[in-house]
Amino acid sequence: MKKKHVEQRLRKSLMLKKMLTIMKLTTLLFFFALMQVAGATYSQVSKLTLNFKDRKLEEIFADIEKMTDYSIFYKNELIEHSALKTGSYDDREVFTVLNDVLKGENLRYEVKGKLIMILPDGRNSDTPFTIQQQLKIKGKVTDSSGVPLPGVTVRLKGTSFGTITDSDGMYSLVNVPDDGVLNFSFVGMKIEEVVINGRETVNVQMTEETIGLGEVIAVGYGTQQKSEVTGAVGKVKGQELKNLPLRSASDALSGKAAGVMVTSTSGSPGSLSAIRIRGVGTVNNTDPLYVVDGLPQTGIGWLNPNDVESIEILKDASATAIYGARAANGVILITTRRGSTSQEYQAAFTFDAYYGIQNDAKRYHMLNAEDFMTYKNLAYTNNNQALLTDFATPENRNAILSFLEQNTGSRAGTDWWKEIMNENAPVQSYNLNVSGGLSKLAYNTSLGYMKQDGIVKGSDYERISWRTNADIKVADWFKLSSNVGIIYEKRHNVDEYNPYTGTIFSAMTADPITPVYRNNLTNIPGFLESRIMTGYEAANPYSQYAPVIYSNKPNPVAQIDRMSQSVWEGYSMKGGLAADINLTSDLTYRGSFGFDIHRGISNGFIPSYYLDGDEYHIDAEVSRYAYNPEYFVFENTLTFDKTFEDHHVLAMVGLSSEKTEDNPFGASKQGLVNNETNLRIIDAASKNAAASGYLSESSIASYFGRLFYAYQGKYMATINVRRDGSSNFDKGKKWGVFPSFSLGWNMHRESFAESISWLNVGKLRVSWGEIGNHNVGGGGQYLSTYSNSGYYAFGNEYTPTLTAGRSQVGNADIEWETTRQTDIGADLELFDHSLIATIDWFQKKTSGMLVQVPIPSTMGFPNTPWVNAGSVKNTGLELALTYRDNIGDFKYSVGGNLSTFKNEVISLGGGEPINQSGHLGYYTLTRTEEGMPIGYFYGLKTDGIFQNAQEIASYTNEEGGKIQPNARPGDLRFVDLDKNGSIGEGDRTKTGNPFPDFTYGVNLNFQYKGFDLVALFQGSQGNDILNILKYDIYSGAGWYNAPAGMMEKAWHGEGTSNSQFAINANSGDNLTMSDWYVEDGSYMRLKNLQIGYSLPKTVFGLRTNIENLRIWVGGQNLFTLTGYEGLDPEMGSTNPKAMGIDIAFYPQARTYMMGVNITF
Amino acid sequence: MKNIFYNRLLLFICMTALVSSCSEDYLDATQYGSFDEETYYGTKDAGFKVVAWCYKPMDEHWTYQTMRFDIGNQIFDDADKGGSDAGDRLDIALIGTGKPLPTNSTLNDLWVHRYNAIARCNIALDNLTKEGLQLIDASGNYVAEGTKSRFISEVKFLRAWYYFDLVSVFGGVPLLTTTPTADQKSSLVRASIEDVRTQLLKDIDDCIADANVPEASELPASDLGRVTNDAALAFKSRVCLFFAGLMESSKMTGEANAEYALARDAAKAVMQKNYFGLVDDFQTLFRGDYVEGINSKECIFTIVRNYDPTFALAGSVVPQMNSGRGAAGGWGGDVPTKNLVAEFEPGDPRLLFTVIQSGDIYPNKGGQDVVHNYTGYDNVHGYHSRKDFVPSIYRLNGEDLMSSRWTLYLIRYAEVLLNYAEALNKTNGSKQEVADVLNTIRRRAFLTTSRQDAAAKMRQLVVPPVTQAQFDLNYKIEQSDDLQQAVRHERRVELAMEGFRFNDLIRWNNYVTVMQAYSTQPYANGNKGKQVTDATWPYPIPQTEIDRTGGSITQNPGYN
Repeated sequence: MKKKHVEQRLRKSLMLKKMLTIMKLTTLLFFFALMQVAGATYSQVSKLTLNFKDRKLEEIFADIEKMTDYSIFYKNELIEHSALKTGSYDDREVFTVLNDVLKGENLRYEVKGKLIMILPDGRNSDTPFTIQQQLKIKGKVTDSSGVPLPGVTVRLKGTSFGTITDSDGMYSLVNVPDDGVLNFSFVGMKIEEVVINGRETVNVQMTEETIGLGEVIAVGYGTQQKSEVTGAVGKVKGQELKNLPLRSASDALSGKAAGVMVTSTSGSPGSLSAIRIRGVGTVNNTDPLYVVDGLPQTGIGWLNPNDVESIEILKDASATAIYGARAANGVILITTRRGSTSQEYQAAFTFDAYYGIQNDAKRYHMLNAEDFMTYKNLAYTNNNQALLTDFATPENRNAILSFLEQNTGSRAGTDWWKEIMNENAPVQSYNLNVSGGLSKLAYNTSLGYMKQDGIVKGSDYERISWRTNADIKVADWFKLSSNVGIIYEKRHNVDEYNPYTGTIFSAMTADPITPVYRNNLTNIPGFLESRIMTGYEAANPYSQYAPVIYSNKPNPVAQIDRMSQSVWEGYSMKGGLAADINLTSDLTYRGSFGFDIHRGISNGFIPSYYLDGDEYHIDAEVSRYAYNPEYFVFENTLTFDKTFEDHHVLAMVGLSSEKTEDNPFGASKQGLVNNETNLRIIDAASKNAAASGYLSESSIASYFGRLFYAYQGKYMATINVRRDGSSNFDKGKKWGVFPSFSLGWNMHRESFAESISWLNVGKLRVSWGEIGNHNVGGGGQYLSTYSNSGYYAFGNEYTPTLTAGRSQVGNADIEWETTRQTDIGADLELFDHSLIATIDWFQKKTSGMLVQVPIPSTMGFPNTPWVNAGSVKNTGLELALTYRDNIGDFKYSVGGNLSTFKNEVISLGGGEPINQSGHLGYYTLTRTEEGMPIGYFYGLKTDGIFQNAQEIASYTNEEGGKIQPNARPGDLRFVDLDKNGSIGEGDRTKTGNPFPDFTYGVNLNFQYKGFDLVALFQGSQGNDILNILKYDIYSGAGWYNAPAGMMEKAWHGEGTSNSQFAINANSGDNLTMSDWYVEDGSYMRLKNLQIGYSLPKTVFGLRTNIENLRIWVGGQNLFTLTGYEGLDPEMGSTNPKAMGIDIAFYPQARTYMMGVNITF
Repeated sequence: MKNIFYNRLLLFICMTALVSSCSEDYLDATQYGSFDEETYYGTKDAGFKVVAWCYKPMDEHWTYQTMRFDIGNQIFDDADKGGSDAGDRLDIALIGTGKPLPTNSTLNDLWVHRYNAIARCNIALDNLTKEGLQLIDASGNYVAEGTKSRFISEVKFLRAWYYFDLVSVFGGVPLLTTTPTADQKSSLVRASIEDVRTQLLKDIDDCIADANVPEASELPASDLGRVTNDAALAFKSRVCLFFAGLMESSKMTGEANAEYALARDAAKAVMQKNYFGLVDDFQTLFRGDYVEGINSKECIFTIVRNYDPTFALAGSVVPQMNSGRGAAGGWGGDVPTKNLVAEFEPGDPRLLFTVIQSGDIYPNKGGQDVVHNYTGYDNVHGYHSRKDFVPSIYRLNGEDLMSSRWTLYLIRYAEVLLNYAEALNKTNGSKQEVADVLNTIRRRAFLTTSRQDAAAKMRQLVVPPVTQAQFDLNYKIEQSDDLQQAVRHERRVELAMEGFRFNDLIRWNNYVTVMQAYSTQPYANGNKGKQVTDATWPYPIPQTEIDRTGGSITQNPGYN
């Protein structure tokens, strides 16, 4: 048996079948090619031109395979003694050649589809390769989707005795012992061993090997054998992304891949996480580039995770440089599911569905009405201030409480949190996938629906997506691949990312005395009457809410009601067509054309209402805003791939051009007759018509190439180069070149390694390269411009005069940010592939980082020009380990990954530190400066609480003056770091780092008979959180509510607290930015848990067509271990300078789910 | 076989050519919606548009309009910052303590805004004065040289106008009169206060001397809000009065008397035109309509504001910010102090139109009572500014305090009279004339000003009418009175809450004593004015400017 040869052939055909290629082409090419091939298809399949002299049969077969689409199967011993052949054929049928060369060899052949089997003459192909007629055992081998697998080696364990399956996946063997063990092996599949146990039929379903030698990795403009890849690439299978209540597949990467940090920016349905690959390399855009089936994307929120076949995360320069100017933050390559070809028509239907209920995992319990009044009185008393009249007397307080009792049924007052929560909010997803194919055609089509209601009322997300991929082998040398997706999305939002009017924030801080509604209120205390009832209109439903009495926050329930009148809808069409043309057997041209057309429409409606001076809208307003980004990409590559003896050479060159255009416009108008839904069109409004719109364009042209060489599969070298031209820069600065080099060494293939039995795979990799970022401050930053600048009025008729002037001072010298990255890594598979490990060390240094080096305001520039002046370094380590084994029927695997990175700003071009302020009375919260991590927390250090006047008096400087002359007992003591005798700017320092020491994930998989369990733990260690909510709810200043227990927790006399200062209406210096706000944000979370059961094929005693039926229950965010006091320690920001700042995020839900996965 | 190969190759080459041919030129993305400088000045009406662009910084909500009160009233004894609580706009209170940090955001905002406005003036002047520049007007005709000259003079006035705000707060500042380039950032240095004065007066005098700048009496109604010869003269009297005060207290070098004379003469020049005068009823100015007042004979220079969403014109944020919180609908800023209220003589009806008291009632559009309640936030005095309040009937969009014609009287005639009286008194002019001028103002206040807030339902303050005889007996200024004291009192009450207090106390050089005294009052919270010393003024230069110039701009003494 010439096993090696057979395996190689099969591997190649399987690769073709599975090759998850990137598919696009222009329509031009499509039609041109179709016309050309129409008449010639058949002859290409089976005719060939061949000349040979004194050649072995084996060599002739190899030539035939190369020139035709046939694979030839034979057993070595059948042909090894055959005579040498000579012949000359010009455009002849392959069968003619075969008939000739087999003449006189006592051999015949049989054709099954694309397989030609060489058989001893006179035998039937149904029993190939068996020596004796007598059957003892037989069976069928299929893959996981039930498609028969030909060419599987079936061997009696411990012997060399065996066979391979035929084209229908059938095999049979004789003379096998009853207690024998059959070993089934096939490239790309896990080895299966089955005890015969006296049976006559043994059917086997093989499953794909997730990690292994034969695995194919998408590397950008092509695929490579995993064993030959020299870059750092992580891979996650689409299977793992199903059954998660998440909008985006990228969010599902959390804890699954080393080097990828996923942090939630909100728990609101439809919100997307911030994805960071290998740290934060710049203060500008740090989002990775997404490429979906070859189509570059800025995000993949639109993509149905069920459609994902696999996700490859390109991390080091060797892997990413092929994407040049946009790859500095890493690349996430996504391939969607495709159908597979087979001899006979095959189709598989998959249906996946889940339903879950979501609730808040944690909440703040705020003070009730009575405690709130006590709290406010305490704050006033501590400030020696007269009490607010409303709360000053027992009569007034009682009037308030009985008012609440009469109207709300309880003296506790309003629990705003409860009022805004949507209890048991449902999340559901249904997905139907049909996949199939024939010999020349394969398709995959899916229809998915997802709907998630938020745990906060008024927020939801809905998506309908349809995606179809088709692969057509038009001719032997010409393959077309197309994909098209149409996606509809819909989303309602609450007010987020906003510590002023944010819904969550308002619900926490609004006083409990304000009732939710003000219609039908009775016995309103006289002193509250005007504050509650001003502007009440009985007929207007938006006027039925009470205004928040004691603060300027909106009534959160009213706000939700109003905001849910507006909706965002998105329509996306994404598709492409690619043609692969084999110019010769080694040289392939691929042309592809892709487009991405999106329409995002915000349908806004603000009703007319008046609650109070902080919360009102005079005229009902209706608005429509349409966002119309369009993107086109046209790519051409030429790939040469050949193996000569020990040498494997792959060379690829390509060019691409991309264009993005955005032409948003919008209109709004006010003054509807009323708030009714049937009036909500612009034409029904009567005044203040407004319109807006602009047009922006940008384009990129690129040339790129890859050169790969491998010797004996042991030594590999890869060179990638990309040259990009971008419209974001001025003439002469448009072009940038991004090279990378990498080397790999497969140690386990060395002869010395043969004796090391436990080493299955041992690969070392090293790479260096440069990648870029052109995505800064929008395009056109190099230009100096004039433009219109709004109106100014003159005259007693208030005549508006248009003004205009200099709008931008550009810097014509700006160019790319360049990131240099070095990576050293190793891939190991040990102990019969049971232990798999990948380890990588990297250093990433961005230079020429585009920063706005601040210029003196004295210059009066309208903007701060960008300059290439900054530099940031990230160094880190990544480790991924998987161990898997079985104990009898119990199969398990334990996987873990851990990533670290250290982030340091090397230079800001001599500019001052970049301060990021936010809430906290405009204090600087984070600072980005040389020698420090990006966006570290910047403030004063505290040293406990002044317990008495004596401590304040003795906290003196060298001259004997008090360091904190205005402090009162119960106030925070600040450290005079600069020793200048007082607390000031110079005492501010690093009080925390938002970046973790490391992040990690642990995956557990257990399988026992029909049961399976999947658990994912994910966590972050050593990061700090700036809990700026404390500013509003922990101090007593202002008019916000505080958490229950606050009065006991706060300092209220000597020795009562050394961390929480006293409640006081005048917060003094206590609220200045200091480490008082900083908390340890480390956490570990059970991110996902699933327990499934696959029903046996015979359910209820009946045989069904159902191939696989799995039911499961599970949960998301089931528990979190953390010391963080706030709602949710997992928080991120899209702004790298504002990481880890808690501004009352929409918390992530705890979800309980159940679902079903059916294949038939 | 060969043919097929060549066919495929040809196909490939065609495709490749298609891509390469379009790739180069399409990298030049068009920037839509903007011009380069040269193109811009060749467009219709470019000259007037760029001049209007130099005016526009004055309608900026926060860093110009409310800033006038933040700095003008709230850091001294006339008003507190107000707002939701002690931490709201804390930086204003910190200036009020007398020793703000160089990082104070309010001072920084003032600096940034004024220099941005000055840069507009400089770039406009750089271009408008270019040799051979041929501007085109709105109807497509060439702009006459006289019109262009008026443009230039208006912009010079505005440049001086913006510089004056800087010099009065920071002392000597960097003097930029042309457009700098980014690489000049480390060569910026502060000019002396004397040099700033010279440049400022040169710009104003150029404007006064330009016959193309119209007299107010000739200004067409459609040009209200533009600079006139009268405005330039009135401004000159204000500027010179300020510098004279600094010279008198040796805060700068110069002959104080001569400077007072300049102030006096400039004010006199306005008075002699006999075009401007005082409106009979003080209420006319501050009623809330801002139609009659700004078109009256008392308004010399103003910003025409309107709520007109079609042109994205918004009303000023000042009434919204500076009105009472809660039912009154405002955000509670700019709280008049008990100290200011006490300055008013009993029977002065101007108080009625200067403050509103907690408990006063104004009707809303629906005729319902809105009881103003100034408790529950950072307001220890129980007042708000009536001058910043727009009663419901004058709001142009429902109850919205942001949609009104409320505006600032940038210069009103009463100030010119007060400037004149003060300068005349300082230059040893006729005491009788000083008293007469003051009495002109007081007569209007006590005799012809109404005692009824027309827009209010109920005002707790009751001011009885005053007869001529009572006036002569109780309120009239005599030449034997302490005229300096009389001028100072009159200025404080007449111009109360209009943003003059800061300049006045600085040039009178009594801010230290005034604020030290204030700090002992119970309503000062033990804080305001406590650290005011001789080193308080000039205020600290924003630290960022020092840092960003690498130290070529230096800090004021006492703030290092």
